[in-house]
Amino acid sequence: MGKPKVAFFKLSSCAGCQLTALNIEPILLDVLGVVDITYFVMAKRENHGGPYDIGFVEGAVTSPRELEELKKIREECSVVVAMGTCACFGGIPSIKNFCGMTQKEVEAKVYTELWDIKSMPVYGIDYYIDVDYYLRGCPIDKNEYLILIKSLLKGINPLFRFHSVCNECILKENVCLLIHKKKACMGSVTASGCGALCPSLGRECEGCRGPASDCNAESLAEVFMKDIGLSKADVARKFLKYAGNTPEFSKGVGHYEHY
Amino acid sequence: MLVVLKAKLKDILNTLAEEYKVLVPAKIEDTSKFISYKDNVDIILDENVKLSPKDVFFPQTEKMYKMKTVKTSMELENITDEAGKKLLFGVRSCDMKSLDCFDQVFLTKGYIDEFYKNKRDSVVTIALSCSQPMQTCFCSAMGVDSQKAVGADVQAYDLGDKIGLEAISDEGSKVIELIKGQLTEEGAEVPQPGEFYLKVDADGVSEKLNGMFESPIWDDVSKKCLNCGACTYVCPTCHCFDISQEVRGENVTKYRCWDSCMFGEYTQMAGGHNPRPTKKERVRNRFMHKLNYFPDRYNMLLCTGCGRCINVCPVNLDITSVIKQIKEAE
Amino acid sequence: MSTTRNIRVDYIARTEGDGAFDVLIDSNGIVKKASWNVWEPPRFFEAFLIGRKAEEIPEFVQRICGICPHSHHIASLRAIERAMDVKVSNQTVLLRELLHYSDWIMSHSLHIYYLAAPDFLGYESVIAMAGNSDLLPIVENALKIKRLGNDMIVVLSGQEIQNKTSVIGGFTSVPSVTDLRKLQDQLKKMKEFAYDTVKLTNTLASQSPYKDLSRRCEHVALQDVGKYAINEGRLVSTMGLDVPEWDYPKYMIEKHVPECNCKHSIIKDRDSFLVGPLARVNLNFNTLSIDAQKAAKEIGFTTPCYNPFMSIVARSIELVHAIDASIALIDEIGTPVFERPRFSYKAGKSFAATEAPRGTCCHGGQIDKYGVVKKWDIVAPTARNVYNLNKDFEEFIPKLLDLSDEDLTLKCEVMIRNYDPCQSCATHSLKVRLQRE
Repeated sequence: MGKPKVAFFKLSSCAGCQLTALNIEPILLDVLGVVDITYFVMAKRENHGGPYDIGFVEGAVTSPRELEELKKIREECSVVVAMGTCACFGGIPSIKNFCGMTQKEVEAKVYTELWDIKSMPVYGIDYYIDVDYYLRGCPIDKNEYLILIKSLLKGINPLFRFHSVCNECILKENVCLLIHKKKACMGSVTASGCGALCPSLGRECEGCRGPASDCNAESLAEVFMKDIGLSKADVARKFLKYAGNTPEFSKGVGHYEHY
Repeated sequence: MLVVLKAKLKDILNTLAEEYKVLVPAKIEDTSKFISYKDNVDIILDENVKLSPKDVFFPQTEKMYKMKTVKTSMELENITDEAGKKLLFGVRSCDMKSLDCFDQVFLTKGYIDEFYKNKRDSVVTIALSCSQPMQTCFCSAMGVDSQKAVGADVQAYDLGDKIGLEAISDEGSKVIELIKGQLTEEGAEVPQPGEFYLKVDADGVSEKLNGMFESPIWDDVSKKCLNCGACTYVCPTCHCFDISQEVRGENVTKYRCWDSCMFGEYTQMAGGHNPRPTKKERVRNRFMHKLNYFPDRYNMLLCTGCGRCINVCPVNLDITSVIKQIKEAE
Repeated sequence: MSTTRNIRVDYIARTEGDGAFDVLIDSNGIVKKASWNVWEPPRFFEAFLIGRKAEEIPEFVQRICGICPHSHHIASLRAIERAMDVKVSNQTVLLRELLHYSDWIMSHSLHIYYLAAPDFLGYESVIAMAGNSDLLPIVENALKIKRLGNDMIVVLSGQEIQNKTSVIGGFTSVPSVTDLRKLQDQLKKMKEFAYDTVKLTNTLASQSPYKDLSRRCEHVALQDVGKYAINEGRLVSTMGLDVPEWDYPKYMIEKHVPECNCKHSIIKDRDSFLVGPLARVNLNFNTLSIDAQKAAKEIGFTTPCYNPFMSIVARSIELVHAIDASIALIDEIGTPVFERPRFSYKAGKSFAATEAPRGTCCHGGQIDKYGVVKKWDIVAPTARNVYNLNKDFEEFIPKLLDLSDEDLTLKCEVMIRNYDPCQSCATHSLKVRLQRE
């Protein structure tokens, strides 16, 4: 078997996840030795058309043009990987779905000439196409990315376990930010895999990896209001951030439609 | 009783450190746990450590053995624990009781877990009595005597500004022998513990649970649980693990690491079936295991009343109130 | 040769984000149309930031761009702190500077070696360059210096991209002195390579036809007192602009030009302008580190330099400076102590600017007394440069008409890459436009 053909595609995003794919300097040349990167606009000038074996898609879908591109990507790639929180859940741009303005109002806030602006509500790519694997996080975790590549090369399932961030946090023997520091930490409802990065640095988890398996957002929302003293609007803001599109996180918002 | 001034404790520990690798309860940053004794560590004697010493015997991640493919066969390589005896100073009765629970699991009923046994055999324990229970303590309700630990080699007593020491086992006598010159004989009495803030009556809870597998209380108890698993990791008696492997080229490392019954994947089967599909079943299992299955099998509760799970639960899911709920249920 | 030539590239490789350009040359060799279009669909940051809390703004705006997150982050932090009257410690100021210089080291080495160098050396990518055994050592060192920038960011903010520790009022955790010293040792080791980079890039940019192409235009950058401006300063220009940074909305104006379908950034009452390393080096040469100045003098670099192809050289000079400045900052920071970040909400309005690796990055807006954002304005450096780039096209393309279409296309791409464009950032002032014949 030849080297698998790998493509990196960018929809609406900050390019941070693609950059993470390059931020593996000590072993970058080794990785390039086992895969054939045939399409990566940010890194190379000669890019070849499909079909590809693996397609990494970064970013959310925010315009009709991107939707067309995405459908083509699905046709061309045997394996599609949603790379990063925007591709998985809509990410930061999806906040505009919940800001209480209509699409036209949102457009008018930023642009004066509206005739050819065609924007849509923001969703992750699996709203439109089948996705084979998900790399969560804003940005993605390097190790998970490497585990996925390794698993795909070996033809096995990477088996990511999306426990809550608390799982990794407590194994790191951190002091709980929610209970003992009274910070509105989203760790208990957010999927682990980041090594509890933020809480280990004294920063409350903001939920960038999306809902954990068995996420209980209602219960945490109650703690936020009762013990931390957040208002209903504050709680809504907490859950309508990186993955407000997910049914798990929208449960945390309750009947409060927007902040 | 042989006593030493608390102010002179470090002299004793220095002597012991010549013979053993001494671990002491100490404060580090915002938390506290057992760490290797050095002259400058901040030893805490007025309350129990936030993290139990269970990882001394049952580490978070433990390499079990290595394998290497050589042509068409495999070579096995055992991993040896670090040599030398360890001495664990200042273990509270609740955490000593948890070692008793571990011993049952890993060393009885015809199966011996070598990984655990090697570590267990290399540790000598000096238990320390508690003078004042903490806000979340309820060990007496779980049948633990806060003044007299089970299985300790030496029992130490908190006598205010002094510490009293009493050898219990032969291993303990050897320890006392080493430091005898630094101790003085005084007629001190075993102190009376302070009153518990948290009052629980766990009598009969195991028997009551026999008929409660389908009880509606589990819906209620599990409602607010976040499934974060924090309780299982800080619990000194929780001992579930997962075995995994890391493959790098021709080298394979097998290791085991803590797992938690709070997670869906814990019972997930290869074919996709999950006998404990929702958190209701998982929360039920946690309490049933602690209060019913374990007593059934080993004749002791799998809870020592240390209160750590109460301290770390983000949603205040308190085992003592669960016990009350069970007892009050119809 | 007197036919109409239309040069189009549907995507510009080796830049951040999604862009395209379209040049139409008539039979007389006159550039009839030269436009750089950003395909990057809008994410509407300025719309959805409204109604969010002040402390969320720095967290969100850094996610505008994965390459220069800290430039957006620090600009927004400073605007908010000024609006809400939050004072930060000197240590925080220094740590933020070090954080931003880390980003410069990463972004500059990424641009020089990954994005721009292949153009000058005739390769399609750095991956292809690594295949040449003569160039492999350079590529390996390039990987190392970029890694160093990344390592610095990791020590300061937890992760290479999107920082986790920097918040309003300070840092949620500070690096250990041991880690900082380790970085300092690494910086000292990489300095020689940075120094060589100046020479290498100068050789590349001195090739024909690049060496003869220059165009006078206004250069704008922040200027600080006694040090090279990075996180704050006054806004100055080669044509006499000198105003406080928070007055940027009054002087840097966006003008709508119908035939071009994109907003043009101009200096009030004047014309297009350039932001970025070349402008900075031109305006702030005297505050560059001694060795950066020395490196510049050795290759005969003189200010003011109006050749945009020398941007890659200016970037290399700044790379030397960034290393020197970081070494000095680590000494000045000493042993960082943890200071709990504190702030309270207060109604206010303010603007601030930072020097992103690719130019002046502006943020600002209005916050109410509950800390809720009422209005937020973002202008990224690439948006500032678009109009100026189109003028480069008009000026330079007629001089390059002898080249084949293929070669001319590459030269146009190089002109764009001079600006190290960040097209994700630029979305705000550029319109998504469908190309039609």
